Amino acid sequence: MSAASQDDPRRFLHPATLAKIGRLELRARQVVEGFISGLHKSPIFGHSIEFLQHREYSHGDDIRHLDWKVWSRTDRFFIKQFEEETNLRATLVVDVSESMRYGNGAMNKYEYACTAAACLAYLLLRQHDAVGLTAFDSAVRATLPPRSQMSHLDALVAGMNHNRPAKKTGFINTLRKVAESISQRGLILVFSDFLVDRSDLFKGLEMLRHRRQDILAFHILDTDEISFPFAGSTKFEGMEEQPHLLCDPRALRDGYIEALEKYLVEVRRGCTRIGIDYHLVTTGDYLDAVLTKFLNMRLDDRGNKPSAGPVR
Amino acid sequence: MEVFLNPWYMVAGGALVSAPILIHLINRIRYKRIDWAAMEFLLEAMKRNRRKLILEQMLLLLLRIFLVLLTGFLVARFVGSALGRGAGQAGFHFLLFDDSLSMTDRWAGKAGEETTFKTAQAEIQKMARKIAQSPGAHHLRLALLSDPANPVFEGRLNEQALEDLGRRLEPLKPGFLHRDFSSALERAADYFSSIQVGQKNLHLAGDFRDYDWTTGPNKEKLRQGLDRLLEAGVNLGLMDAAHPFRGENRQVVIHHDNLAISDFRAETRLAAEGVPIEFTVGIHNHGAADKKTFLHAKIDGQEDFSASQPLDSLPAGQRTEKKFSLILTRKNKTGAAGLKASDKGEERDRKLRQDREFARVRVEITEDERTGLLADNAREIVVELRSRVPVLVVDGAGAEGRLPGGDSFHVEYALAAARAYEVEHRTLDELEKADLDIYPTIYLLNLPEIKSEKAIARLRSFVERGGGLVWFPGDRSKPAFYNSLFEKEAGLFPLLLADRPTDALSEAQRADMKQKDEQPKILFPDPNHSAIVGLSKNLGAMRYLLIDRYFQARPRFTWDPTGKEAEEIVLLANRKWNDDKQRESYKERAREFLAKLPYDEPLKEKFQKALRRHERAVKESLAADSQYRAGLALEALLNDPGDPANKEPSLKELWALAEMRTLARQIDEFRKSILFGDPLVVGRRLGQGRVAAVLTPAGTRPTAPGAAESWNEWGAGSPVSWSYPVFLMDLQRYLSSEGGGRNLLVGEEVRLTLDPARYQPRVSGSYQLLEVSGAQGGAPAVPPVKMAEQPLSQKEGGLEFTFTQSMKPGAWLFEFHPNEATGGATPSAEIHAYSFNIDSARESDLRRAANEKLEANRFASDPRAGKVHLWAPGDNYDSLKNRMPDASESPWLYLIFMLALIAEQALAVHLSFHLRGKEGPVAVPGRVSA
Repeated sequence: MSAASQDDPRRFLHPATLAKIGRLELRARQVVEGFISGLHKSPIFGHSIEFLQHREYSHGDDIRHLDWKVWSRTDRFFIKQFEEETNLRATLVVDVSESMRYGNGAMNKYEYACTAAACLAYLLLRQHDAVGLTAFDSAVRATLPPRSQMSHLDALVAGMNHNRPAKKTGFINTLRKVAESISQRGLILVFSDFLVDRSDLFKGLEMLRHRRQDILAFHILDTDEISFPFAGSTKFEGMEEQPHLLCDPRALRDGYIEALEKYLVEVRRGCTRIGIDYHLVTTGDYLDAVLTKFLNMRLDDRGNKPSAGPVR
Repeated sequence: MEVFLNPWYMVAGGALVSAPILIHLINRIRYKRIDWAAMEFLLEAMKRNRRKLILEQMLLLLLRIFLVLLTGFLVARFVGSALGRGAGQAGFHFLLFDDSLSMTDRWAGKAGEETTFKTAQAEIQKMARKIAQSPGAHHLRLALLSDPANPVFEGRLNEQALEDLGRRLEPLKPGFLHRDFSSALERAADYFSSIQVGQKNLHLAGDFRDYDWTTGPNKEKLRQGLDRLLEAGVNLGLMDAAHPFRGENRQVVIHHDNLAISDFRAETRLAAEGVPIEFTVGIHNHGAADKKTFLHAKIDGQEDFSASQPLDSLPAGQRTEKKFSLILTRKNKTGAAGLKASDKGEERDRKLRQDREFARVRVEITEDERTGLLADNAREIVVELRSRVPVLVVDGAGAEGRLPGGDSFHVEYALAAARAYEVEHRTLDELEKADLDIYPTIYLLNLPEIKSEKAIARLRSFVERGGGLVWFPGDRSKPAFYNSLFEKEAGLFPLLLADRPTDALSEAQRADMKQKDEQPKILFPDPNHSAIVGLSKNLGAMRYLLIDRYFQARPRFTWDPTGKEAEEIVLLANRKWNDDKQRESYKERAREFLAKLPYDEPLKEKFQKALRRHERAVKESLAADSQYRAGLALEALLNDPGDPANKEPSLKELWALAEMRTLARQIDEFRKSILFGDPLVVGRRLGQGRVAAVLTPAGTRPTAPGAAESWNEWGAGSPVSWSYPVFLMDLQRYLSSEGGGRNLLVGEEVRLTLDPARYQPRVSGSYQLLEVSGAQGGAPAVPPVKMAEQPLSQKEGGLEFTFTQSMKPGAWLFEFHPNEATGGATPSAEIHAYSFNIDSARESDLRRAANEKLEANRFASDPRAGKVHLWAPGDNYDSLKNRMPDASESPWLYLIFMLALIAEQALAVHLSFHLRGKEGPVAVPGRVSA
């Protein structure tokens, strides 16, 4: 990849991947286009076409929802409630910290995460859902409010493009800001290697869940980080201000794998506990396959569990 | 650095030890850099495994250092462990050179005739040169096997010493004696025990025959001697110079064929002039193919063409026996030097001594092939010749015994029949003084006892030196005295007698036995025994022989527990058969045996016809109440030769089957128990001579006061009295054939004690060596060589003559000079002749020991023990180059090396990364910067 192409934020819109997942459009439409008005029944009551029920007026209710016909017959105030049908608001939360810059092969974790995020954004925008972005490292580096125009895609990928990563990941602060910025329920897609303090990680995600956000966590690790294939005397220089270590990696491999597995189990259990849809992805995985699998899983969730809508 | 043979390799090895450390340090400086995000897990793994990692890495590093060290150790050849055994500084070599007869083995070489001995001489020089070339000081002691105590060469090896060694080796010749290394190993052990520091090497140069190393009686002694030396760290070098030369991988060692005269003997050592004497020669073909040859017989160098004969078939690997007769004549025709009947005592003895002459009888075979030994192609014996053979008779009845019917009378009568014997009558008292050596045999007739200890001692000495002694106890004899001789004098009387003789037969019994009893009254367990060979041809006539009384022997186990020391030559028929009850018991047992015969066994069907026939014969003999026929029928059953013409198999095949052997033995014992009764004639070897006892008197009338009955009718009064002279003649031949001490093996000692009253203290003589040519006609006679006169030493009242110089085959004639006779006449010298022959039984078989037998070393795994090297001509003797046993020879070092390698590999594999199970290949990191 040339230097020019490295700066081009549209590199995240991987044509091959887009072509492959584009073929899933019909199926994806059932999932993602469900977000489009009329295809999704929402348990959130608001203005809409289909009447749901009456409820006695209480202080603070919008008087615009008073059913005057009922008042005329009963002399009591009742509020009309409708089943809300709303467009989806998705927010992409992408980790652009230094640790995401490690990678072997075609893409590093950062590029893989951005590409996956861009592809999903494209898919959502095509279905007229609103997509926003928060790119962060030690602090929030870019924030874009959700928009549903297709032209918003360029702004999204430009926001992800960040060439000077900070040597720290400020996960909890970032998620706090994301939570504060979201007023409505919606979908939050988090792309990160989660190489942070686990308590901060889970605290931040819980914060989002408390805002009743549906969270999808894409845990992106490099293939090397999974298999640790190094041999020979090697100096591992820690990213994000971590110490360096000179060692024979073959001798440490078993211990490393053990510690990594323990960590992955901890993250998966934490996410499950909080109610987050967790996906571990390695940079060696084919992106289209990963996204296809993800979309299929979402489809299965809808089909097999009618109660499990995008908003629970 | 003296602990290494290649010290510089060890220096290099030491330097290489630092290689793993250096590599380790370089690896610390040169490393790859990887920016790593998941540092948390790496640090945790590091924290958890830090100690284990350090230990594993250190262990791996140490293993690699150890391996480098071991490699250096091997290449540098560590000899530190051998220093205590004298490796390094000096080498001590004891070389034993086999000069036994078998080293004269010949073959046609490129430069003429070669012998094993000559080849060994050349190889010893090569070995010595190789030793001299090796570093350090080397000391060589070379000794002949025949005289290991006196080295041929001894000194430190250098150029000058090698020349000296060559000069000393050149004149050496192989001897004619049998030697094996076992006897010299003690000398070698003594030599090495005196060496404290230095490498010890024993070298044996010889022909390494099977007899010495595998089959002979000294093989164990030799093995034990070698084992002791090997255990003590002495290296053993075996240089086999025999032809064809031994190969390293040859399992079967080829040897030269050899035709040898293994033995040659006369039927008597003392013969009368003009009487035919039978000679027996044994020729052993030690080859792999049948051979033929021509046998030459010579008397005093002149060939006797009546005895010389071609031998057309000598089967491979077997001994073939040939017999021929010669009539020997005396040079002195005057007879027994004027012996008169009136001559008594010493004068008579002197004249008898001077009557002695010796004839040299020699046999030689020709050999077409020019291989093998030459010396064993001829053999020579000396036969003492008398105008008549004097026989000493001592009769307990004295002069009365010489009257008709007396013991002496019958002995003299019987021996006179042959006209070859001169009976000398002496009294019991004269036994103390008489010169017993004049006589080949002594007859002791009806002696009550011998009170003189000196006489008994002289008799014993007479027999032990080759004389023959025969006892005829009679009515005067006291069994207790005879038994005391058996017990106290090592069997001078050959058996133990019962306390009294048997009772005389009643008239009825005598008549019954004479007229009705058809079976022979005496029987011969071995019909071919030389003492009864004449009688056994006329066994049938012995039915008329009546032995009324005899001395019963005690049970045989009391006087011959092994059954091999004495021999029952003549046995009386078993008289128990005449007892009805006993006879029925015998018959019952016979029927039991017949019932056990395998008539119905399908596998033995071919024997059925013969078995049925013999069954009938046995039953018929039992029905006829014939003891003798029953015995014969049983013997025929055991020894049926079959009839090949009628396709009848031999029953010997049946009895040879494993399951039938017990029954055959039982039947044979039963047969003997039916036939054989008490022994009548018993013989026994004593020293070089023989004693015999005839348990009934020689005479036919009683001589003891008051005795009424005669004991037997053998000498006179019986239809078979003609057989008594035959029996006595055979007995005489049997007693005089043994030993005699005149025909010896090369190297054996002659020892005589002479009466100083009779002889002057000096001896002179001559010798005539036995030359062997192997050519047709044999070797020409060699003229006798005069010996220098030697003084005789006086010892314990006698003049002692000892001769130990017979190192070559041939005949020695010693002349002893009697003192002046009464009246001032100077008597002529008395001659004693001895022949010395090679020990063919131990030297002629040239088969050679297998490599594995020679190289056997049960201490091979012990690094401190000596090593065995086997060389043959053509070898370069590189292993003699001051080889020190070094660590690289130890299998343990290689085992350690291998274990260390396995451990290093296992640890390295354990510490390295490998894909497991279904893991796919993982790409090498790309973003890596050095």
